[in-house]
Amino acid sequence: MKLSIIKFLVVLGILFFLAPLVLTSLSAGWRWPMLWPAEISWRSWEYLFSGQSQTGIAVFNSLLIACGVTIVNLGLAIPAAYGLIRFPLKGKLIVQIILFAPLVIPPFVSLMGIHFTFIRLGLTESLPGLILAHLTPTLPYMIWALLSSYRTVGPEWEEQARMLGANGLQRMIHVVIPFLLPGILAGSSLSILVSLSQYLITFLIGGGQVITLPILLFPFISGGDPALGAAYALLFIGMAFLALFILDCLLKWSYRRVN
Amino acid sequence: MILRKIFTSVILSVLVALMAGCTSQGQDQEKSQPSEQTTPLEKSWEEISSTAKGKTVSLYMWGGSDSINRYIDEWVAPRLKEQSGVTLKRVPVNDTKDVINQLLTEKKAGKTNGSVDIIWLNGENFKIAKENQLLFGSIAPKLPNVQDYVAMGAPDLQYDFGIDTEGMEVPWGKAQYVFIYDSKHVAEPPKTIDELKDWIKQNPGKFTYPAPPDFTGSAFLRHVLFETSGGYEDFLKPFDQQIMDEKSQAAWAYLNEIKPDLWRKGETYPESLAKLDLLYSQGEVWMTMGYDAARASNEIKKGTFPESTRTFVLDKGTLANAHYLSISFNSAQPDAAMVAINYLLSPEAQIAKFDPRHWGEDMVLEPSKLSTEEQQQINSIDRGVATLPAEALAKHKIPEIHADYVDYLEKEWKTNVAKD
Amino acid sequence: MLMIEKLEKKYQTDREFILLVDDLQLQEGEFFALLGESGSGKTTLLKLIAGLLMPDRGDLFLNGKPISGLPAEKRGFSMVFQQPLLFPHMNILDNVTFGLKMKGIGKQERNAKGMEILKKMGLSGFEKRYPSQLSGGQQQRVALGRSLVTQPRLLLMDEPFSSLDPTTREEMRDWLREIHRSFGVTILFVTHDPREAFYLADRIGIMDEGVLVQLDEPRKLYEQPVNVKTAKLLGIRNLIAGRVKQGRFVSDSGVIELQLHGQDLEGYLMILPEAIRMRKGGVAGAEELPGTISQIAFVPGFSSLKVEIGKERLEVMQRMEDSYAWSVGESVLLAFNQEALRFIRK
Repeated sequence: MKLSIIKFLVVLGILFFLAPLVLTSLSAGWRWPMLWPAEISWRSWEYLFSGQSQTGIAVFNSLLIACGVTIVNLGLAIPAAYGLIRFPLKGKLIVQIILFAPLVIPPFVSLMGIHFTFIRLGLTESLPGLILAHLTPTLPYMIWALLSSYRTVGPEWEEQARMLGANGLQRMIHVVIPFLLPGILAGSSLSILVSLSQYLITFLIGGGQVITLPILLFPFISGGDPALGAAYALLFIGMAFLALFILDCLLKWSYRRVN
Repeated sequence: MILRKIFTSVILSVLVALMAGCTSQGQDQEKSQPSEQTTPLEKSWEEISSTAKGKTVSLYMWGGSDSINRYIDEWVAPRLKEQSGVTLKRVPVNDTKDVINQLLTEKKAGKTNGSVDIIWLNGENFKIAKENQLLFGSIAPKLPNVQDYVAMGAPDLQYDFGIDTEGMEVPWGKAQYVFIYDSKHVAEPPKTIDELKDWIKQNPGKFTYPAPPDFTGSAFLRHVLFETSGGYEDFLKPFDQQIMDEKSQAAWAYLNEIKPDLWRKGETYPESLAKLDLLYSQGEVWMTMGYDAARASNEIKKGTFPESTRTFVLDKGTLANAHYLSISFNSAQPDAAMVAINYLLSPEAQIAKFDPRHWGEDMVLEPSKLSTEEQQQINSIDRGVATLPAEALAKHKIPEIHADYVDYLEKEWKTNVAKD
Repeated sequence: MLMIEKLEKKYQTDREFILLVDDLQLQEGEFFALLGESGSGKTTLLKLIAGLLMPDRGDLFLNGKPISGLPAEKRGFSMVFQQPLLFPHMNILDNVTFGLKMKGIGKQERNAKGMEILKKMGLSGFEKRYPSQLSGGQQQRVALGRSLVTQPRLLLMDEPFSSLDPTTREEMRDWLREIHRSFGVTILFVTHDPREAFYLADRIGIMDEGVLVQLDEPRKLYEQPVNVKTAKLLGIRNLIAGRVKQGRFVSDSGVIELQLHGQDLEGYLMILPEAIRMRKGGVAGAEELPGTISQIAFVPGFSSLKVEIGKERLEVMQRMEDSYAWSVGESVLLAFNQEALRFIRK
């Protein structure tokens, strides 16, 4: 009973914030101080779903990159965080500072260098290149989420698994990762959301040849077409929710598969 | 422990990957010059056209308007493909500066087969591109439609915000400054800045302008400067602080004189054009302004401006600027890019662009050079009651001046007029 | 079956110790307890045997084959820790069969074995539950079952009952004896509780500061601890500092003087509480000492008393008698069974 009231309030809250977006996306000539749009128009949605707008491929690319980024992030962050937690590494603080630096240093500082190097390596304008480039802003979140998660797996759990005959890989899969699941979920969600919202990195490294949703969305928002901006923003919100939902299902499914 | 070694090396490789971005950038730039084949600039148009067949080019352009996007995707691209076998791919851009930055880095890294073929740009971006040799070369003389229909020598096309285009970019469209007024309250619109002053005095509180450095407000200052100091021509020369201090005196006097009769007695100014438009649509002021000749008609259609809205230009002309298309230095398909730009400047593409059902923007072609049939076609396009005829606009056009003057005016306005 | 040779390992508690075990051999099927205070190195030794720690020097042999190079998971040992450490994301059956799964045994077979072991652990019907739904004792039983189901060559136990409440601990003790007998598994059991060690072990090794100081059967150990620290560790309380001189022991305080054969030496007299006879006060006979009862506690069947003799205080165990109840402050006379008196050298 109590839960359903909370759910109701949450939904109400979300609708409260989404309603202006929906109205804006349907409006034609809606100006302050008018309470309602003068006219309802499907123009923005028609454009969004028209074959020319590249919306479909943009959503597909966005999700593909976000998934790729998250998988690579997990592959890097699970061992990296493990190393940071378990082994008395010399200069651990410095390693940590470098790993977390992208959270503090604004992206354009490193972006030029990354762009330059990627051109040399022939990684620009390709999905693998974009996935690599998106690691910069996302990996720190993943490591951060996993570090806090690793703190819940004391070494005794692994010792116990060893004493039951589990080798390194088995311990990771059957014991450590299940403990990390909350961290993996949090890190993956952040990784997906941060990747989905990248504009400048995608534009430069993708060279404009890889279209993602922000590439389509940004010009409308900053260019003063509020109706289309709102329509794309709604699509973006929907896509982000869908991605998180799929992630949640996927993790639950793989969790059940392992055990 | 072996595990420890593995983890150490994983961490190290992550670090190396992260730091790859910060590595040295200055080395061996010279090695990657394109192997010199015949550049399209030396070929005949026939050769260029035949090379272009079957190629795909990317047009990097601001993507924030669905009608412009649709014009390219739905009107231009299929016709271009049909007529010349070139596929046009539109790449949406938020800020053209990003494309310039991309090209700058590509230049430094020695990338030769760039994917930016055509860029839509003007002003500051063109200046940077030209200074850094990011453009392909003087393409204008090669394009038949430019030769046939565009008056390349005209000052408003030759100079892009004071920078000589040298044919490196080709004008694609124009924007002209117009004043917008409500004919219900303004029977006879002023024809000069002086007449405007009289009108303001007769109708206190019914005029204002956006506070510079708003783009439109800043342009209003330039019109005042030109007419109070004897014309725009003096300002095409290089900037001189002392001369400018003298010449701007009259302009500040003018602006201070009208100040008490402005909206809210000039104590405050609308901070943007959107705010001024709002005041206009609510009837608080009777005039607004802007760089789009067709905007008043469009706003009437949308229902935001009253039906009685009309536009006027000054007798001595209003500022006009053009925006251009150019080809990047490393375009992989320069031939096809030239064919595409040539098509975008064809009478049929320009007339379609002129039509408010597609985009509604001014043409860059000289109406007089078009066929009678095409001229009739243009005349038959309904650009709305509030839009001045193309000819009337074309006759009252003055070029943009260098950015140094613009900066000066914006700064001085604060101390001489706003005084806050 | 397991043989340790000159094993050496630096380890750290509050300060640095060096664990050094010259020679230790475990017999097949034996229950061997390692007794020591915390920091004595007993857990370090256990982990060295398990393979969770690698020795700095020395060798381990299992049935004559060296195993020092083998990682823990390949030694075929099992271990029960202080905490049950049941994997919280698995149900009881999956926990119990985890070791079998790691060995690649098919699901059907391992589930059958798992059910069987749960039955032996008295936990039938719990297989679908999750660890958090079980009590501490039940969890530790599951942990033991999980370790036994793989039929380990050696079962290592690191104070497995120390986190349980006292009643459960005693139950578990009895139950572990049963399990040991029915499975015939060799057990190496680490504890700091002498009663637990005495109750369970066939042999006890006493660790102190990284060294195995004494190793014997419980009874012999109890009767002749090698030094006073060991005696204290074994829970022996009546230790009186003094010296032997010409066939008599005199305490440092001077209040206790008893006949004791042996060389003239300084050290401690160890008086086992159950070897003291006590009677109501009166005239003291030969070798009888007068004292006053200062405290009485009841242990089922016995009275545990503290008797003060001058500055010394002795713990005395007396069988409960219906006819008489001792009271605090009462004067008593103590006599000592000569056989039960031991002298420990300083």
